[in-house]
Amino acid sequence: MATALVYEAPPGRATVPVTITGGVVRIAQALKPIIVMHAMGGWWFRNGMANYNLDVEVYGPVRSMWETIPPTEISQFGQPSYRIITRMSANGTPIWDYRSLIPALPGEGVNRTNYAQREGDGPLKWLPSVSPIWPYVASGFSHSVASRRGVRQAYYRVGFQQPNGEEKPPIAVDWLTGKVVDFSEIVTVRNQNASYDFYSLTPIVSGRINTPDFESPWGLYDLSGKGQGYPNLIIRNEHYYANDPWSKGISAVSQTAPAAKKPSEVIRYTWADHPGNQYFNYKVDVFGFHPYPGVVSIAGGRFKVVAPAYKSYPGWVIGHRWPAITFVDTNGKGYATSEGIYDWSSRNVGTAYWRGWTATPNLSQFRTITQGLRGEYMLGANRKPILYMSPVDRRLHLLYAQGGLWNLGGGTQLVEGNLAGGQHIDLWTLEHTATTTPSRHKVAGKVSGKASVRSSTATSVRSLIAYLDGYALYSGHGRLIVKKVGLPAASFEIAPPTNHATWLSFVNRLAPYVHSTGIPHLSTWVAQLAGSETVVGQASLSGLGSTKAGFFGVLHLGRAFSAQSNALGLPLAIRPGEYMLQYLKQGGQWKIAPVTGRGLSATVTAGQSLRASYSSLLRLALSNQGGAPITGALTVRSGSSVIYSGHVSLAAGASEDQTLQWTPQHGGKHTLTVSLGNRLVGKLGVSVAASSRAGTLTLVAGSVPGLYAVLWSLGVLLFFSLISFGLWRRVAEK
Amino acid sequence: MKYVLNSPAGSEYGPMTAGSGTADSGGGVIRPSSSWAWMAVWSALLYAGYFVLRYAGLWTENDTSVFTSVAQETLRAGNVLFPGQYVHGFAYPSWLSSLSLLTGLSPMVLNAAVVPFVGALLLSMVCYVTYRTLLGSDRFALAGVLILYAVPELMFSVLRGNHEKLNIAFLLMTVFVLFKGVDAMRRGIVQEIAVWSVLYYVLVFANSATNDYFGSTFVVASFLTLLLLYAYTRWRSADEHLRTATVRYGATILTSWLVVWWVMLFVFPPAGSDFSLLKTASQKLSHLFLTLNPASNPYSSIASAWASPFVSNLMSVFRVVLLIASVIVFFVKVRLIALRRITPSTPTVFLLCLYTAYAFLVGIAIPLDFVGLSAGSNLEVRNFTYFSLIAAPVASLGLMDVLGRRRAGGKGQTPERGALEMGWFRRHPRLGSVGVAVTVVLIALGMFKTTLDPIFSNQWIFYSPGEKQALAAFHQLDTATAMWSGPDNRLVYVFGELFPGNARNNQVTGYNLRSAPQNTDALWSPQVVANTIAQGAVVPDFTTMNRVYDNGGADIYRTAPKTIFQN
Repeated sequence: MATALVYEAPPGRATVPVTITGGVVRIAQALKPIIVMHAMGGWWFRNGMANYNLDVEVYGPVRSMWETIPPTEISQFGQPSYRIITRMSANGTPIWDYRSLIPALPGEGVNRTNYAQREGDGPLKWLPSVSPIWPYVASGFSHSVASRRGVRQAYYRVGFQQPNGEEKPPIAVDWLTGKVVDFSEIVTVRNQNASYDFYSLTPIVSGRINTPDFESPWGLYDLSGKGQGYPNLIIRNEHYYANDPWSKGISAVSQTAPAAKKPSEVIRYTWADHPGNQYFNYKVDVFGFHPYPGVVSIAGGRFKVVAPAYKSYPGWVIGHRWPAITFVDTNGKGYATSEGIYDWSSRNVGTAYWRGWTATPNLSQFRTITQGLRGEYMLGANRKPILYMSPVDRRLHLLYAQGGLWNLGGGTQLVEGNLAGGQHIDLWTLEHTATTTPSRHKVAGKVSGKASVRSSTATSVRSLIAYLDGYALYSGHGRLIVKKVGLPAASFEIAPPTNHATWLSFVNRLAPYVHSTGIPHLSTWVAQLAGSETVVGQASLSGLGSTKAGFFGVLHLGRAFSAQSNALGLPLAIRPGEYMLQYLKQGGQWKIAPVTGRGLSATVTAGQSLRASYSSLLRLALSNQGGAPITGALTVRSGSSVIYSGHVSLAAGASEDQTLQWTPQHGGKHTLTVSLGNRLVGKLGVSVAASSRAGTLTLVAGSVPGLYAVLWSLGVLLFFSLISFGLWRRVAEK
Repeated sequence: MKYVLNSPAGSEYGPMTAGSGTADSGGGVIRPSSSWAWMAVWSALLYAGYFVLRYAGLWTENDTSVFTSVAQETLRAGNVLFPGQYVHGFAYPSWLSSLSLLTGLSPMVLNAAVVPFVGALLLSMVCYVTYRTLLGSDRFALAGVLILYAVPELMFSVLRGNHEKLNIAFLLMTVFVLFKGVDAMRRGIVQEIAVWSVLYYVLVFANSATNDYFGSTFVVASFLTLLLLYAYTRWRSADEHLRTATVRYGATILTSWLVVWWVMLFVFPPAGSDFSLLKTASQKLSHLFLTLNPASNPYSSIASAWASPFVSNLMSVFRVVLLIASVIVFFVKVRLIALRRITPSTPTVFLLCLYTAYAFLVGIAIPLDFVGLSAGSNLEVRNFTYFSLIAAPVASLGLMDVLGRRRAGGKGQTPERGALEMGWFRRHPRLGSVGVAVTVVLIALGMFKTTLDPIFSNQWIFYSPGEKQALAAFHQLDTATAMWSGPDNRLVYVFGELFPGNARNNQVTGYNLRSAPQNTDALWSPQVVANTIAQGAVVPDFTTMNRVYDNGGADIYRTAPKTIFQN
């Protein structure tokens, strides 16, 4: 074994002080090496090949790991900060690179192990070292220096990552200060066709079966087989094993709670429909609680980790059912990334929700998305991440998606909905959000010209298209089109690719569907669907709903509305106004009735006797006894305090039960009222028993344990007797 | 029986007017001074006995729980430096863990059932000795101790399982040593000066190692006391030796700051973080005075802790009585001194200066409380507790004047007779009996407050055997689960004591069931429900949950799952 000691300039100097006496180089004894390198086999450079069978210890503030704590904070006098082991193949290509953080740093959520394993076999170009006989010191400049001096062309840029398709010497020096800046990765994680990597907060050590966490493992794949130094599938996983203390660090909410008792993982599965070039097209993001399938040996068998194996990893992700899935489509534009598409993480549905603390997800993240991207989400049922092609918009969708959003830019967005709650997206609404700011003139006239400028936003629906029970309904630009199409809601279903064969199949299946990135014209979507139709001018549709019986919506007929065609036979011999349009599957009937909002009845019942200060459940039963669907804001009040407020949408004849939580503040008679908008639809008088502080005897008995009460009473008696007697004696003696 | 006659009046402390000791305090009958001391000891044991036995040892509260846990962690770590150590001082957990090793009893048992007796004994004995020195009377030294028994805030501090029992003992010892040191300095006896000075440093070290805040507070108070003493000697041109002694001993006190900093920076570096509070406090104080917007108001919600506003006032009555009485005595004494109607003794002047210093500390604590320091917004309450240690002998001094029927001292003395002496009291000799009866009532009332008896208090410190058993079952039967346990942290503290390491990653929470979203379980017991109603909080709807555990005294309920994430 050969050993090399690497020194950097001491404080206040830019060079390492050496003395050369008789050909012997001496370094001041006080100077300690910053890196100690051992080469297996006792050689450094042989037959034009550098020895990358290295064991390395880094002592100083040298960046040697990816995104761990700043090196200056972990540098310990006389103690190594990092330990690095690398090994190479017979042809000299580094094949794995293991790095561990030595200081324990308890409580710090930092990477303690980095591991990178080459899974591809692309050629490497070897970048020059400062010395031909010891090829480990990069001759390049740090990025800032290179830029400042304009010497980027002459010298390559050094840094922690290896460049794509190249291998630079690992020791990067800031030549202006004489300090070692980086001990670069030797096997790159990102900049190659394929790799299997771990960034773990829990250290991976030999001699035990490790349960790595955080980004464990990464899987980078070249599904095309034609990669040019970048993957076209990236699996980025954030995993925590059961009771992993680091699982608490995910959010501020988690940090005050116990660690998650179940294993959990959130996986970005990002792929491209072309060979890897750093741009990606699609992502499915899954979140769930699957334990890892088995033990994998890494680093030539040196370490054992519980993780999915590299080759089966894509199939493991796509083959499992997940309770939260999102899908992101870049619409052909491409998304540059080395870690996967970040938008719409499936875990960001609220920590309280996925930890099981609440039944209500936080869907706020699904109200925005990066411009140009289209996202969809599915929550609350264990399903596989399967995609399908819609015949309506001719785009990929997530099966069972509950909603989606396409940010078209300029305040325009296409909102996707799933009215029927089934497998397919069935509503597309083109919305425009306009932000209005008061003019300078008006504002200046208010308060000394210093009035704050407040802007307001208003969202308007430009057009919509729905595909329900085989009918396409279009509303926009003053027209209503109802078309009987009869096509299935999915042209085909397809899973995200997991290997070369499925990738090819995926690419081929999607080839006929050309992406357009501009604002879609929903009327053209209807036009490309064949079928008989009814077209009404000066008409629009809103408030769409779907039930088992059919679908419904509020039909707005303008003063000059006219049926330009009525092949479907809608009963349009009516006056202008607002109507409830209803389609009943049974018998294929169309109904149009005036919107009245009447017919809703509400009853509130308490399942138990109510007591003040006690949280209680109330059952709210709603029933639409009218002939038309009802939608509106529902409010339940006790006196003036609101117990519940929400939205109700009930088809004719439908009923719905809701459970409300209520804690009466005081005893006595309470009147509960149910309102739809401003209209009272139900009323209930309830009697609430008062709750008062427990009596003295109860409290004494409750605070003295069992039989001890007797002893206690005697003790208290004795206690006071003794004090009284003693004091009486004292006083009497006087 | 050993009979001790107090130091002859004026023999040691200059003009002796603050009581002439046991020789005449009972009307000329010489009494064994040890009987008064024994009364102090027995009364302390009785008080502590009531405190411990009221709930059969099944009690705890925040500090008790924290220090029990820290002591257990100290034993586990075998070191005073470990993550989770109490950062303001290591001495109390170390002492508790040492006692545990010595006796074989767990820190939990020690802190709940043994150490309260030690705390009460330390208080009564040290108080008795110090008061006796300052008042020159056994009887009124005991009166001072009994006055303290009627201050429940102080007794709670002494009896609960935290560092304050040691801080209070160290404080009183330091007062004694300070006084003795100044006196030795005045008399110029080098050996005594050395002994008292070394003792002073040792006690400042012990106090700071126990709690740096209280350690440094006492150094401030000592310095202020000597400053006032110096001002007095300058003002009255009295006792030049005392003036010189004050200046010289002032140097001892100033150098004792080095001891405090040594503890905070080198002996126990975690305490060094408290230096940052100085910056925060100054920033917040300037904000308070510049904007008059308090960051917090710690005095706003005290009444809600009691069964009713009347009870709240009743429980605080003696605090007010002691404050008013001591203030009256203080001002009467100061007036008489100012009018040169009396020439006070050195102990009396020392006591009055000490009183002024602590009154000042209480005064500056009030704006500090309003700025809402992260280290605690109850400095006034804490400082008042220590103030009461000094107010009690001042009140006792007044009692001596009123009831003591003291005689003028020896030659050359200006008698203080008549300072507070009123003929009315002389005509009602049974007034003493009434006073004793009132004291007993006030002590008894104070005991209810000290134990936070559920009859009066809404914030309870006891727990039932069933609740303890349910907490143990929760810990053993589940992992990574959070359980609501009542309207406050009563059972959270119990859980913290029982399972300090919480190896099974479970969590017990208090307050509103939904305030901690992770609560999937809820503990039911008659005590939990009664406590919840007493505090006006919401009783969870247990009927919608699944009962997963029942021991007859407490149940555990689990929220029924509504989503697949809740399984």
